[in-house]
Amino acid sequence: MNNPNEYQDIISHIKKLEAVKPSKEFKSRVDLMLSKTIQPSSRQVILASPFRLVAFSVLLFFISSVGVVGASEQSEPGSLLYPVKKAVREVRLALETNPRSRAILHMQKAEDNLKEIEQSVESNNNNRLEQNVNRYQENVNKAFQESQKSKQQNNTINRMEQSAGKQREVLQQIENRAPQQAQPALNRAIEASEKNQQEVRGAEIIDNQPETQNGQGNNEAGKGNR
Amino acid sequence: MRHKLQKLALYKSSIFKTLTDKLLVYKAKNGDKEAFGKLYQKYLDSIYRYIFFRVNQDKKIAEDLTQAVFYKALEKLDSFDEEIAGFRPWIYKIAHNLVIDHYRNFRQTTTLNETLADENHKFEDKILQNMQVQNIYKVMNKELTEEQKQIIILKYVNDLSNKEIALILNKNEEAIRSLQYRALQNLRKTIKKHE
Repeated sequence: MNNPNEYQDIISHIKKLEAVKPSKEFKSRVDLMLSKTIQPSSRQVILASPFRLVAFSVLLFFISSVGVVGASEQSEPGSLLYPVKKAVREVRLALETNPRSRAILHMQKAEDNLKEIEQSVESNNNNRLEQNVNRYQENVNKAFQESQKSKQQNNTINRMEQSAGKQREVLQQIENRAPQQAQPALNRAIEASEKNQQEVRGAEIIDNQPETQNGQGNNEAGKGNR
Repeated sequence: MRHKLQKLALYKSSIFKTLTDKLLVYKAKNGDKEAFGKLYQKYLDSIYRYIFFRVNQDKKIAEDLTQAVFYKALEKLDSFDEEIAGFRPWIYKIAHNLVIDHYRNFRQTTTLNETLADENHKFEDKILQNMQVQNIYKVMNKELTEEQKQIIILKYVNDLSNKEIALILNKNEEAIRSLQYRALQNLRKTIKKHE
């Protein structure tokens, strides 16, 4: 159209037609009929996951700009900043695509779970202990799965082995002071940690064999140790 | 400058509306039926208005068809693909098709001209009793083709974009722009003649 203002007078008259609305009786009739069809569902979606991720990222951006994220890194379970630390890990995991970094993040989550396990033993909360051991097992398994996908497998495995070793020590210390009823759950956690360590070692041996035979070594092992 | 600012404000509000619709549709598709209720409340008036002017201001038919639009939308929501069109053009397309079906069925017993309501009935609605609006509307009915009238209503009464109108009427945006321009030109000429 050449000039939209040229027809402004006509358009403004036409626009008055937007005052036409359905009658109140009709509205209430349809409201009633639709409300019978549309029964509120029990399954409520809080927010779409992409929206949740965006909202989460915005929140993360906001809090990171005031240095809360940095401070939260050292926080322990039960402290005010601990939920921030956990949220940051979740966002990082959601955004991270590199298997090595994902494996490390899962190991860090497992370390957090260990602290939570310790806390639930101290507070004598068996239900919480079960939940935390489950989370620990889950994160250890995921860390191992991600390390298998990693191109820098040797490097990742070394790091995971160190971490798994430390975690076992912590778990044994907790077990020594834990009451009798907490022992089965803790044994599960120790088993998960041992299994992880064995699998990691197994993967390391398999990974090293062909390279040693060829005398090439793993070129990526020494690279990019982030 | 003022025009540009108005355009920017319109653009922002249309992005906001689209995002809100996307969220409501996502929730409705995932079983949150109250979200569909919100979409219905948002579009009831404008869908009714669109149909009302397409069925020659016959309130009864407009009400029946409006009701049918929302039932159909609820029934078809699962098959609605946001990648093809937004919710707004989609629901208007349902309304458009139902009006076509209505005339198709009606024509078996009568012709389209015979369906024109008498003048008194047409302007029964309060807003149409305003003389200037009445004149414009009479001219629109007399001088514009059904398609031009539809585009003018969708564009200036219901605030749809040319892109959305193109999707509803299965035409390209250029054709919509040109029909819109010709419709406004016709209205201007006829109004000048009467002055």
